[in-house]
Amino acid sequence: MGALIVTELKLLSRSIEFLVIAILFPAVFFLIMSEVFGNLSAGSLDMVTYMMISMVAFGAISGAISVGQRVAPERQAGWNRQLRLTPLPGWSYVASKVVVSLVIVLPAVVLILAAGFLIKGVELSLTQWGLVLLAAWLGSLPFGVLGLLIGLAVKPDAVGAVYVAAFLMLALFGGLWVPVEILPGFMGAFAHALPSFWLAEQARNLATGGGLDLLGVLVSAAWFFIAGALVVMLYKRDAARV
Amino acid sequence: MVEASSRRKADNEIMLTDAEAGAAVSLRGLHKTFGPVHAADGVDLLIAPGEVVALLGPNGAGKTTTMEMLLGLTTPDQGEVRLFGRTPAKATAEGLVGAMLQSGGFLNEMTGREIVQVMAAQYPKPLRVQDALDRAGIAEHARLRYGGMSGGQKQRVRFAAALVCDPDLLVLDEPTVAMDVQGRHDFWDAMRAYTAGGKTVLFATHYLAEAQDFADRVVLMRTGKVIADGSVAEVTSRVDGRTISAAIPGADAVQLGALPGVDLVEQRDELVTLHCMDSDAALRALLTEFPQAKDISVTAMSLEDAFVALTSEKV
Repeated sequence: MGALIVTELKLLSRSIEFLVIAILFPAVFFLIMSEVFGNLSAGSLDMVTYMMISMVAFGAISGAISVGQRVAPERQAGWNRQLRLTPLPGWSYVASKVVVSLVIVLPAVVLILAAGFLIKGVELSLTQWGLVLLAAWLGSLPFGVLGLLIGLAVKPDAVGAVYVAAFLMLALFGGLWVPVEILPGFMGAFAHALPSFWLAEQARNLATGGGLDLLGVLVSAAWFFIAGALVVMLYKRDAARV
Repeated sequence: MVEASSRRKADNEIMLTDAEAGAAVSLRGLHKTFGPVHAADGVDLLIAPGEVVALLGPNGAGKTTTMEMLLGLTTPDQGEVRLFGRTPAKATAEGLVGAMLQSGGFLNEMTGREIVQVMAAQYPKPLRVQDALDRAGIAEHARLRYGGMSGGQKQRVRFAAALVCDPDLLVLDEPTVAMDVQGRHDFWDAMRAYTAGGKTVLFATHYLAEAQDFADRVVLMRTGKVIADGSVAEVTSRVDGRTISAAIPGADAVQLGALPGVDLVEQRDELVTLHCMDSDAALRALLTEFPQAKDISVTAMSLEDAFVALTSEKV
């Protein structure tokens, strides 16, 4: 499993396009957005901080999903089948992808937070910075697995489209663009079932001195484990004749 | 075919004891259907440790499906697979089996060495990576990216990846398919070195010469069944027929097929090839019914003719 992680990171490090989009892009996006909308108010948080946390969620989700969906070209190449001929267990394959997604998400999140602190002057206590970072980082876990699920469940030529659709829906209905409060009631309720909503919500709570919401932890964990179980199942099925 | 079925029956009886004693491969009554296609229709096969077995058959005969069931990639609808007395999953986990499949593949961005390294890391007691690259004859090109390699080079990387777990059983599906003549030659040299140590090999191929030169034993499949099993000499002698070639203007394939002694008819314009179990009877009838036949020649069966005759529908 270690060798798989090292290999995948080595391959990603050779792809400048991937690194720029997954790691640098969210921070740049945050700087532009906060320049445009930064003087508005957003309840208990000032707008820049609110946007910083939304962008952290955005960056964590897009980074994690984009690692996961890389499984589609790997499938096409027959790499999965090759791995199935080795003793590598299915869960171990999934775990290696999840670890890689965590490695990619971490610098993306750190860059946005650094931009917020150094350039935008966001003020949080040291503990709050740490908690926000941790909430976003671990909150990205379900998305790496979701990306894998898309990559395994969808036909290779449709993966790109489904990936974008899933990402947009998670961002929109999770309240990353528009606060959930101004969405219609039923959509607000729906948001509470999404890991994208909880990723941002937990980070916002922690940034304003609140604690972790247990329901949110359960929702995110449920997405992670259910998607993970489906991925292990599909990985095994995929090795059978296509 | 009476002879074949009685032989298969005998194998079945031995199988019970040999499987216990640690046959390298023991397949018993394997069935697998994909929709309407019966890809494996009761495959029985027993391979002793150290045997080199060629699996032959036309496209769609069930070779690949049989190999996939053997490796545990496909679950048989019915029947049982044992490798060294273990389930395929257990044998794989112990690093006893190395395989090179047509459908398996590697990522274009990885170098040959990285590919073999990553495979080696999955096994309990792998060879040194350099050793596997040397044996597969790809060491000097191991720095190339897989995507930039020639077909023959890719096959060698796949071979190195199959070898690196130091398996007791190698399963190869058309291993030399993209290689040029020299590449094939080198490949089989490497294989000979490998099997000299008493390793077991099962390979599928369309090159009958490879089966003849390299295999101790030939297993012929057709429509999901094993139809012949033995040394090359045994299998060719099973078809003790001859081939009649002739130019017959206005010949009708159905009529020709109905001639006594004729087994199989191939026709290209007026050139006709008849595979015959009894060429004397066929020739007499041919000359009576088709007096216009000319340029007639009668030849003994080659391995290729035997292959065609055994795997064609009429046998």
